[in-house]
Order: sequence, then structure tokens, then C-alpha cells
Amino acid sequence: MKSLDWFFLALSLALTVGTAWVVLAPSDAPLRVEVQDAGGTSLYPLNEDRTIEARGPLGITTVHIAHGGVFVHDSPCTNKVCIAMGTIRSSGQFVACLPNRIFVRISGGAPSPEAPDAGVW
Amino acid sequence: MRESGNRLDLPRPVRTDLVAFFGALSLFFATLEYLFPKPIPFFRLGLSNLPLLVSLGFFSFREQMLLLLLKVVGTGIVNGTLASHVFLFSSGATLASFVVMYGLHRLVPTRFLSLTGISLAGALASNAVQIALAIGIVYGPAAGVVAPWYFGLGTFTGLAMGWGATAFLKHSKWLGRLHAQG
Amino acid sequence: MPRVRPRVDQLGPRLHPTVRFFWGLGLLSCLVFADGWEARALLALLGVVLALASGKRVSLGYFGFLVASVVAFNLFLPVGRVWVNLGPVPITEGAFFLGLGKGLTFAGLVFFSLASISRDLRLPGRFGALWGQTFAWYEQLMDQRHALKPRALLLSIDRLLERLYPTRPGSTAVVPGSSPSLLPKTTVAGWVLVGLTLVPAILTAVFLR
Repeated sequence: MKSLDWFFLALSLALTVGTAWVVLAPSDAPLRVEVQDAGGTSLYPLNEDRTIEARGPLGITTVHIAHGGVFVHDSPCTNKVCIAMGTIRSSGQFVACLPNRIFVRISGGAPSPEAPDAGVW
Repeated sequence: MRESGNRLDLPRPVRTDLVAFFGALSLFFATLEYLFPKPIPFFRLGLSNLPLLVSLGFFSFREQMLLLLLKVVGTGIVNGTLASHVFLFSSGATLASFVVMYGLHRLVPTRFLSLTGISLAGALASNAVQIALAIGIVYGPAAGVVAPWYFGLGTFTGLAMGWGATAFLKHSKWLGRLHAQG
Repeated sequence: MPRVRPRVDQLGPRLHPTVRFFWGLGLLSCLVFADGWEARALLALLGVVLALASGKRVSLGYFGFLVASVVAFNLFLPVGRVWVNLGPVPITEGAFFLGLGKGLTFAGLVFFSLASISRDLRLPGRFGALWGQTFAWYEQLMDQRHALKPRALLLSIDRLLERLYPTRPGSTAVVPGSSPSLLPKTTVAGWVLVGLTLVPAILTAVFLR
């Protein structure tokens, strides 16, 4: 074998080992949105814009995922506190509509320093 | 630049017939390859690239492209997969492999690089394209887990095809007589 | 040992290869533009039937594995209602059906391709003539494939090459012309088949959403 033959063999082996390393290395799970409603839990990637209709005892709470953040767009509750909570973007942050029993949380990735360690409802 | 002293000096109709014959050889090896069980989905052994590899030294670029087209389209027709995503995988991988192999063959002198190295480089290019297509079109980002398998198996098949092509070029009496005609 | 019945192409005698090719493209388009896994499942099923009718070997185990693997990889990107958590991996409804639809599409593409691509397909122009020659050589190679001996591979390949493309002094290669075989015309039954498959396929793709 000639000099560049060895080079391509080494390159091939390096790619094998390198990709194995990347695949096996522990990594943070991608950020995703968890929506809990009357039907159970649903998951959606945070980086894909979409509109979710979460069903509760009062009706439909509309949740938007847009531009890497998630917020409650509309809800049948009286005080609209969930809407006022605004947009969340980091892991551990949450928005909730208590009257309609809708809970929206961002999970995965590294936890945000501002997020509480635990929450009880 | 790689020496082209072993180009076949044959009349054009004969050269075109030879391209068709090598195209048939490619299809023949592709059919044999189809019968081998694949260790991972979409993985190809590369047997059908042997005629392309062997003929690098004596076909012109145009003839090589014709051979490539015959191989890719012909495999699609013979296996019945011309109108499916399998054709996309096959043609993408073969084209990438050919561009790398032909480029190296033309640009790098033989004292630095043999057919084994060219075959390894071609296998790398082919597998990289197949991984990209598998991730981008069929399986999504999670399919990245097959990358080490593709590159690992590709190293073995690249070496094997390179050694096979070198042995054939060295020992084939048929090829020797063909060169003697040209 | 049970005798294996040779597979017969039921479609070949009834469809001209070019009509067959465009019919296949039509069916493929329906599959690609269909929405939802139910429509794709129906079209893939049609594809299996047609591929079998064309005498092609269809390994349901292989295609089942293909669909299952596409579903499995898609489950790693959870979308929609969580059905169950398998360890750290949530199995979600959206990801499952997305993967199922995708897997059925890829399997269906192969089925329709197997049914519609005939070895008699003529390609246009000079490339078509070259292809005809190539295919004729290929058929000769396949006829003589048993001449290859794994224990003396190089020697047997060399002998086979010499037999088909002689290079010894004094010999000349006999270039096979593309065989001017009579191509079947599309029969009435063939056109009925085209209609009976394309129309429901189009309706399925358009309305089953």
C-alpha cells in the first residue's frame, strides 16, 4: 500500500471511531414541550412551530409554539392568568391554566438556573 | 497528474461496445450483490463498482460517465427499483463515489495512491451520501446511529474491492490481451 | 424437495412496457401525494398485489422490517399524545403514525416500481441503443453465471469474459444487437387494469385524509 492509501484507510477508521464517539456520547435531550390536559400528556419539539389545542373541563386552551418559545394564546378561564404568564423558552419553565387543568412545561436540555427545583400542584 | 499511458487505443465503435460490456458486468455484479444479505438496511457491498474501478485507467471521462449511467439506470431497470427511493440512494452514492475516484485517479500520481486508496476514498464518499440520504429522507436525525456501522463496514468493503480490482488488473489475461489490441 | 413454481408476469403480456412505466409513475404520484397513513397503507397494499402479479419476488419480512425500522427511528422524535414510556423513550401517537406513513410510502414506492418497470422497457435515443446492447450482454452473463467458481474466482471470471468478449488473436467479439423482440401491445384487459387501479388510487390520495 502507498502513502495516500494509508491516509484514506486512516481517514475511514477515524470516521468510524469519531461517529461512534458522537453517537455514544451522553448528550442533553432536545428541548420539548410537555402539555398535560384531560387526555393525558403530549410532547412536541420546541423548535417546530405549531398550535396545540389542549382540552380541559372548561373547554379548549390554545397553546402556541413559535420561534423557540411557547405561550398560551387563548383559554376559557375567567382571569386569563395563563395568558399573562407570557412566553417560556428554557427547560424547567412552565405555564399553567389551573381552572382548565392545563399544564405546559419545557423539558430536556440543561435545566434553566431560574427554574424551581420542584413544583407541587 | 496520473499517467494515462495505458489508455486503450481502439476505434470508437469498439470502445463503445466495450463500455456496454463493462456496463453489463456492472449489472451482473449488482445482481450478485442483491442476493447477498445486507448487514444494515440500504448498505451496499460495492461489487457493482468493480468494473468502474478497473476501467479508470483506460476509459475516457465521457466513457466513464456512460458506464456510470448504464450502471445506475440499468440496475434500476433490472431490479425493478428505477421508480423508487432505492434508485435515489443508488445513483447518489454511485455518483459521489465516481466523482471522488475519478478525481483522485486524474490528479494524484500512482506513486502516492493505488487503486486500494481510490477504492477506500470512493467507499467513504458513497457511504457519506447514503448516511445523509438515510437521515434526510427516510429515517430522520435518529438514524445517525448507523453512521459508525456504515463507515466501519465501508472500510472493509473498500479495502476488499481495491485489492480485488488490483489483483484483477495484475493477473487477468483477458484484460492483458485487450490492452495488447489497443 | 418441493418444486418452486416459477413466477409469472401476468402484467407483461397485457401492457406495453412504456404504458406500464407511465402507469407506474401515476400510481407512485398518488402515493407520494397521499396524506395520512391510512391512504398510504391502502396504496401500499395495492402495490403488493401488483408487484406479485408482475411475477416479482416480494419479501414481506424485508418490507415489514423496513416499515418497522422507519417507525422505530421516528419514535425517537416524540410528537403528540404519549401512549407509554419505554424507559427514557416516550412512545407517542404522532411519531408512530408519522413513521408508519413514511415507512408505508417507501415500501409502496418499491412495490409500484417493481410492478411497473419491465426489463423490456426501451430507453430513447443512442443511449437507449447502448442500453439494449448492455442488457443483451447482461442476459448472456446471467445465463453463464454458474461458470463462476469461488475457489478459482479470478480464473473463472477471466474465462467467462473471454467466452463472451473474445480477445485472443484472430477472434472478434460478437456484439449482441438489442433483440428486436416484439413488444406486447396494451390489450383491452390492460387498459381496464390501468383504469381500475389508477382511478381508485387517485380517489384514495385525494379524499382519504
